[in-house]
Amino acid sequence: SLTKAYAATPTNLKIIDLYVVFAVATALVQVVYMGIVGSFPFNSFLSGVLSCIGTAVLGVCLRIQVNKDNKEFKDLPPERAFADFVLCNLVLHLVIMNFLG
Amino acid sequence: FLSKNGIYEFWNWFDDRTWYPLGRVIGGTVYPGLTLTAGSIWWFVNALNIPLSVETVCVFTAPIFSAIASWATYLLTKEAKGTGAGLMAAAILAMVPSYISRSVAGSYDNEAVAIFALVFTFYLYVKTLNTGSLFYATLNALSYFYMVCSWGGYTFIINLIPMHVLLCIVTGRYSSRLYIAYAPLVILGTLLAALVPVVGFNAVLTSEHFASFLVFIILHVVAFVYYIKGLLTPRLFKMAMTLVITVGLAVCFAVVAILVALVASSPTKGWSGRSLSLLDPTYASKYIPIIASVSEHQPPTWPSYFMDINVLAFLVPAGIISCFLPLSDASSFMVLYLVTAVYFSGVMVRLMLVLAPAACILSGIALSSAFDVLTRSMKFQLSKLFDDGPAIVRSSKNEKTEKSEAAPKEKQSKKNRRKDKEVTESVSVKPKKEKRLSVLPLEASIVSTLLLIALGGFYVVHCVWAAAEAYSAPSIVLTSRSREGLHVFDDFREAYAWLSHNTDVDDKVASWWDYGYQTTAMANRTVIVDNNTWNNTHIATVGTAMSSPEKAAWEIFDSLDVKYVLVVFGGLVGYPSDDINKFLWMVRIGGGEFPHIKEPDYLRDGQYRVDAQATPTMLNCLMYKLCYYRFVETDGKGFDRVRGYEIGKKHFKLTHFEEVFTTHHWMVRIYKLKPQKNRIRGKLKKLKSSSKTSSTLAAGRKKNPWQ
Repeated sequence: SLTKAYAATPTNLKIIDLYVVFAVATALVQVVYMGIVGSFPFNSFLSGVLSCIGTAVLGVCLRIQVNKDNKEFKDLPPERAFADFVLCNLVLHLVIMNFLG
Repeated sequence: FLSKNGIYEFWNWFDDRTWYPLGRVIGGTVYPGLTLTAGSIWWFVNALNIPLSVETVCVFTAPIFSAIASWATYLLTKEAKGTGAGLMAAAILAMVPSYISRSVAGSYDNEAVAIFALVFTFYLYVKTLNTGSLFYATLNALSYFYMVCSWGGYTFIINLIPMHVLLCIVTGRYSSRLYIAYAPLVILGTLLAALVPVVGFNAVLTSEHFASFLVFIILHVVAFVYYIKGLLTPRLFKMAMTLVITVGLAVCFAVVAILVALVASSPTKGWSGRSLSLLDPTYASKYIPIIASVSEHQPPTWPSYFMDINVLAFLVPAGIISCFLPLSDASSFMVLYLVTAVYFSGVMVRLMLVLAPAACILSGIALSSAFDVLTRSMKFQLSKLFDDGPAIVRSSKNEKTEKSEAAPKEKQSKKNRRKDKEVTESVSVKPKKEKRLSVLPLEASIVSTLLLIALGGFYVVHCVWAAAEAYSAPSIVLTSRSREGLHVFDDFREAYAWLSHNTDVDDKVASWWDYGYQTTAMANRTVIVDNNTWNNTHIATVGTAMSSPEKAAWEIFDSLDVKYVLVVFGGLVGYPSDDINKFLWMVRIGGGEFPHIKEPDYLRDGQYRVDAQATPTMLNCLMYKLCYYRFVETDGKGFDRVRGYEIGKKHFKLTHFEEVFTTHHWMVRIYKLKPQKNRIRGKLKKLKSSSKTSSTLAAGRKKNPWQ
C-alpha cells in the first residue's frame, strides 16, 4: 500500500529522495564511528554530522519546491529552485570546510 | 587593536592590560561583531582614501546602524502588514528613546549593531516564511550569524523562532514554507554559531539551544506525517499512524529520558547564569550578586516604560488586535515576539531595548490601520456628500488587508475617539470579493485623525526631550546648574590624566569594576577588574580588599602587584553614585566568595550607616578610610552631602596607604600602596622583643610604621 503509492511518484523526486536517504545514512555512520572512537576533535564531528544533515535538509527543501503536486510552489520554475539549492549548499559547505579544523 | 594588527591577531589576542594578573583572552570572550563591523568600515573608508580615524568610525557606528535598523523595521513590518504600516513603524523606531539611549553617537556597545541584526534576521525569517524561497533562508542564516557575532542576546532569536514554529504547527498552520524557513536555519545557524569563538560548542551543548533542536525534530515528524497523508488513502493512513505513533512514542520517551538525565546532572541544568536570571527573576539576587548589582539588571518601574517607549505603550494592544485580523504567519510571529519581549523587559531594564522594535512595529501597525479606516471614512463621507452614492462601499480588490468595522456597536458621536474600540471584528454579509465596510461619520473621522496626528506630535516632542536630557550627557563629564550658570565637574578626566602622567606605564591600578574600561582607555594603565565582569572571583577579591581593614587589604593588593588604588567619592559635591553607595555590593560580592566577609557586620540594625552609629568593621574598612581620609578638613565637621549626615570616624591616619592625588571636587581619590619597610636585621620574632631591641639599637630612628 505505502510502497504502491510511493512508486507512483515521478522519477526526479525519487532521485532526490535517494540522495536524502544517502545523506542521512552517512550521518548515522559518522555517529556510530564517533561512538566507537570517541569524540575528540569535537568540531570535526559536529561539522561532519551537521553537513550530512544539512544536505539532507536542503535536499528535502528542493524536493518540496520541485514537486508538481505542491500548490504553493506552482509559480516557481524548477531552475530557480535548483539554483537556490546550489547556493545554499555552497554556503553550507563553505562553513563546514571552515569548521572542519 | 584590530586596525593595527589585523584580524588573525585579533582572534588570538590575549589582553594583558586588564584583569591583572589573569589577562583576558579577548579572542575567546568577546563578541566580535561590533569590533569587526567598525574595523571593516574603517578599512573600507580608508581604502577609498577618506582619512577617518578609528575613533571617528567607532563613534559613528552606532547612529549609522540605528538608521539602517529603521530601514530593517520598515521591511519587517511591510512583510507583516503592508507598506503603510512599514513606514509608520520605521518612523516610530527612528525616534523611540529606548533605542536612542543605546545608539547615540559615541555609545560603542554591542547593542548598537545587535538590534539591527535582530530586526534584520526577523525580517528575513518572515520573508522566507512568506515566499518559501531557499535563497532568503540562506540570507536568514547569514544574518543570524551576524547576530551571534554581535550580542549574547542571540539566544532570544534561537528560542523565539522555534517557539513560533511550534505555535504554527499547533494551530494547524503548517505548510512546506515553514519547513523551508526553519530547517536550513537550524542547521546552518548552529554551524555558524559554533564558528564564533565565544559560543563555540555551547551552540550544541547548552540548554539554551535545545529548544531549536527539539522543534527541529518535531518539525520533521510533522512534515513526514503530512507527506504520508498525501500519499495514502485515509484508511491506510490511520493504520500507519497508529503504528508510527506507538513506535514513535517509545523512542521519544527514551530520548527524553536520556536528555533529562544528562541535563539534570549538571548543576545549573545546562543554562548559563545570565539566562537563568532571565527566566527566574529572583535567581540572580540569590546566587550571583554581581549580576544583581548592575542597576541595568533590575526590573524596570512603570515610569521607565513610559519614559522609554512613551505613546507606544498604549498603541501596542491596539496593534495586537489589528494583527489578529487577518491572522497570518507573520502577524502571529509579531505578537509572539512582542509578548516574549514584554516578559523579558519586565525582568531587566536593559532588555527594554529588545522590546523597543516590537513595540514600534505593533504601534506602526495599529496607527496605520487606524489611519486607514479614518481616511477611508473621510473619503467615503466626502464622496457621499458630493454625489449621494450608494450606501455600500465596495472594497478595492487590490488591497490585501482590509479592516471591517462594526458600526452599530460604535457610538456614532464625537465622543468615540479611542482607536482601540475602532478595530474590532465584524461579519461580512456579501460574497467574498466585497466586504461590507461600515464607516464612521465625517466629524468623528476628522477629529480622530487630527487627534492621532497630535498624539504623534507629542511622541516626537517627548523623544527629542528624552534624547537631549536623559541620554545625551556623557557620563564622564558631569554638569550641574547653579546660580552662576553651568558648573562642570571634570574630575574623572582629571584623575585619569594624572594617572597617565604621573605613574609608570607598568603600574597596576585597583578600583571597582565600573571604572575599568575608563581607566584602561583614558589613563592607559593596567587594571585589575573591569566592566566585562567575567571573573567573579577576581572581582570578589577586590571587593574583599575594599571591605577589609588596612593591613589585610594591603596584603591582598600587594599579592596582586597593585601600586595604586582609586576610589570615587561623592560626599563633597553630592554625587550619588560613588563607591560608598556601591560599597554594600562590594561586601556582598566579596562575601559570596570569601565567607569571612559578612554583610551584617557592616550594618547597624540592618541599616547601612557611616556616621557615629556605624559598626566598627565599617569604620575600619579600607573603603571608608580611603574615602573619608582628611575629609574633616574640608568643612571642619565632615558632613557628607550624599548621605546627609556627619561621618563617624573623623580624624585618623592611614598606615599602609598614602594619598597621592585628590581631584578638584574630591570626586576621585588615588592612593599609593606604601612599600614594606625593610625588616630589622636578625630580629623577626615577637613584636615586643623586636621593638624593644630596635628602640635600644636605633636611637634616632623613626618609629616603626606598622604601629
